[in-house]
Amino acid sequence: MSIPEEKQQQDTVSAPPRLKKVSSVKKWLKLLLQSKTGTFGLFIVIFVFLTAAFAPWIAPHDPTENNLAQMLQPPFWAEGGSMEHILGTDNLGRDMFSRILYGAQVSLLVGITAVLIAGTIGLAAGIIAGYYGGFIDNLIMRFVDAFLAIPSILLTLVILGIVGPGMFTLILVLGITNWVNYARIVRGEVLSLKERDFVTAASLMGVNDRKIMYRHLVPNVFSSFIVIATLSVATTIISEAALSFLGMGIQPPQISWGGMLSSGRDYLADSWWVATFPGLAITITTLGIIFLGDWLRDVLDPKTNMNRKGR
Amino acid sequence: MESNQPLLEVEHLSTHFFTENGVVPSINDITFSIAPGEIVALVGESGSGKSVTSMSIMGLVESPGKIVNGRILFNNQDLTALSYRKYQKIRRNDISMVFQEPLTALNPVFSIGFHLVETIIVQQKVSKKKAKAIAFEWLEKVRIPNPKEVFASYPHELSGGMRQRVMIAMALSSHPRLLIADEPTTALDVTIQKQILDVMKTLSKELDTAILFITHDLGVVAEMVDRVMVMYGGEIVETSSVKQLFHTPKHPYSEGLLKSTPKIQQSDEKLDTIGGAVPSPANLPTGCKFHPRCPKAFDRCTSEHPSLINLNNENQVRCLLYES
Amino acid sequence: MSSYIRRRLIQLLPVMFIIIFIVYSLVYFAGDPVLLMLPENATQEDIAQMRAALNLDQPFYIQFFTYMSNVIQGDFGDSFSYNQPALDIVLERLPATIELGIASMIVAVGMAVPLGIWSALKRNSLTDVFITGGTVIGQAMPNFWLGIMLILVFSVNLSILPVSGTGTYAHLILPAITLGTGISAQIARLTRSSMLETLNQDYIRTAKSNGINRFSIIYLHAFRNSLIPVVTITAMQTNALIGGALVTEMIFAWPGLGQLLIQAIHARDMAIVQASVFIIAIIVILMNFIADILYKLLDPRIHLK
Repeated sequence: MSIPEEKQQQDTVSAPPRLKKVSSVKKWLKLLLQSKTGTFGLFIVIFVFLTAAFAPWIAPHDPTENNLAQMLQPPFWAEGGSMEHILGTDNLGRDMFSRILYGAQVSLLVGITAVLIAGTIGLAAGIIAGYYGGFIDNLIMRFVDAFLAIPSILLTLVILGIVGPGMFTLILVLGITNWVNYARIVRGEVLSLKERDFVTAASLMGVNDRKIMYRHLVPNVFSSFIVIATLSVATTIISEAALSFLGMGIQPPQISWGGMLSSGRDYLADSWWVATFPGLAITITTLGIIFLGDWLRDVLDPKTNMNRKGR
Repeated sequence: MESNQPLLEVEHLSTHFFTENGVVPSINDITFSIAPGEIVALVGESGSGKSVTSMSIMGLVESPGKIVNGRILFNNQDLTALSYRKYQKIRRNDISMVFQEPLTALNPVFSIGFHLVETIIVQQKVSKKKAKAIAFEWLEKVRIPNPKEVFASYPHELSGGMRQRVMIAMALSSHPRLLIADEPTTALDVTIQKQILDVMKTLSKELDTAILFITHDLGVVAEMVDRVMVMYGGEIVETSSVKQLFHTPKHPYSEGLLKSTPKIQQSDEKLDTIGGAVPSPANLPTGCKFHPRCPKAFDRCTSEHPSLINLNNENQVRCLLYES
Repeated sequence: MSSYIRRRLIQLLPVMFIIIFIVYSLVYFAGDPVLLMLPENATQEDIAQMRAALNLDQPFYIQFFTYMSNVIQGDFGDSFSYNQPALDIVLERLPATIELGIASMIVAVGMAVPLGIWSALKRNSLTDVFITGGTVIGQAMPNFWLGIMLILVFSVNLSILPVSGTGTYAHLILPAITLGTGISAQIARLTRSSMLETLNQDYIRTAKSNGINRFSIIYLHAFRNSLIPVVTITAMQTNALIGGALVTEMIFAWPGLGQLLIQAIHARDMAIVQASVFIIAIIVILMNFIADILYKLLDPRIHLK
């Protein structure tokens, strides 16, 4: 009775889902350059990485060296400031600029390693819950619910209060308390993947569970995973800073932006720079990561991508 | 008003979309007219520009789309020159529209009653009580068996046919002079299709409302309309009376369309399909838009763009074969 | 509806069990509290007596079930720094945190929803770029830094608002902005994308073709639909809100649960820590529950069965 509609034809031709190949760097670069914010984000992230990596060579001063004669010097453009300390000095006369450079190391290290730990736990939990379903799924998801009910910063804080602060424990605890997001999203994706033909086919052919999970599920949830992981680096950096700010994270003499901010708070009345610059450093870093993560989501996640373009 | 004065005259209408990847000429140089009370079909595959034509007439083409050329005369008034406010008045009182998918075309969070009453209040400037009475009257007119229940229902609670009846009630309650029906029955079962078409036809006779019937379905056309315009690649390629189109289609595309439409009497006959795919409006072929798929194409077709040739008063065709 | 609520409540039972388990484990692994609770010159005998009184000489699962039955009866044990039942102290501090939370939510929604709608309507314009950019900055900015910067500008430099403390509405302004901004960014982004999505729907086209005026289309038809995810996400921000309140209360010396909790962690007053974590979890669960119900009330397509 009717001419086949173009739409219907498109629907029937559905290519098997595959992870987008990261083969051509050129293609990705082109995609990236199309997005101003994405480019901007990548630029910031690379910049922060370089800062962290080359801090010992760039920093004009030893970041931990006290110099009480030079304490609370303002930045160079303010009255009384000098090019000796371009961002001024803190209450112990330490060079703010050098400390901020070194602070990048801690932020990135904690942010990335904690996300790797959390991501691994979450990915495993999500895939197992989604793939096996039933009781295991129920059990894992009730744990997810319970973890969701306790703000992760609160749980982190309490555990750190018990086991004691420090970088290693901080990373570990941030990793253990932040896995739920991955688990939820990965589980959702696995549930829909399970309905797809290629997974059904694999399980009918007697491919064992572990192989199905590694070969079919992990690669297919990887796009969403990488998007959450990227954005989580930003939130984890903020959490690290907050915990250090509260005195439960990185301990002096190790340098962290949160810790610097915390000491700057006491000198707010006449030395605004001590609290301002570390916060600015955190904001710029997380801003870059969020821009990059949003761009990744646009490129990797076709669902949200379509919404953005409308029509 | 004179009786031979057309209700709607579309003259050389071109609507283009200015996308990031270049200009998409969705429709080009569309010219046709509709007399008061007349039922006309605009037939074509999706992507042929028929929906863009209807949205252009409604004044609802949105950025990045734009009417770049031509006029739309409604009762001798050029709609393309109207302000938003004045166009709003036309949409409220004179031109209505029914869409293809009645589930998505109704707001899921509002009841049927809300939809009807809101529309009637806006269009007819009556009190809420009066609007409700009119709404019930119309639910009966579109032959809804249980108006009270339907009035209180939400769109998702009704069947497709019921929803489309509601859409028709909403569209016709203001007694418009023109109803644009964009694939109103495509989403429905065949038996329901017939009922809906019946309702539309009866009410249009009763109200003397003209209908521009947009469809890809020639079967619907045969039952419903007086005159057919066939669209392809953003252009009208043939206009004809229904009878003539079914007996002696002129344009090779119309011919192809007919061959691919099953006839009720000879259901065992093998159906032809038109080879190839509808060209994307962003990437139209040169010359005659249909030549890559045309079985009768010859070398001139690839380079020369045919103009619309008058065969007689009611029959025009855009094909080099008919050049004299 | 009531059967739906009952079913959901039953589903919450295992979650509550896990939460009590987590809360209890925290302390079990924190080590022996007895040494902290007794004077330094306590004898071995005193310690053993105390341990027995606190059930600490029992195996883990017995201690846990004893603890759980106490919790169910509302007994979290006594705070050794306050010498009072921990729950009483926590509940005493709760209203201040709720006050701050509500004020922050008002700030957050008050900023986010208009900005989100505005940027959706002005899609891809300079306004949209500014608002969207602003929301990303709001998300990127640590709230404790924002709080300190607000103090720097409004209290130190302009001296128009108090640095810290409580009592008047002026005291509430800076903490509420500090806590509300980050959440506002989330809500604004969601409002924008949700509005863009609904404005693209067929029923908006229907409304336009029926000559419904622009105001009703935006604020009645489109916003009513966008509201569904927005309300849900807003209620689900409770988690983030309380997490943020911990730090915000410290900065502004706001005498709420967050401040109490951080002091308790430093003092290793585990009864208070446990009671606070538990109460916070209950509040979050309750708010998520409300979000769930609201979601279903706002969307007639979903039946409550």
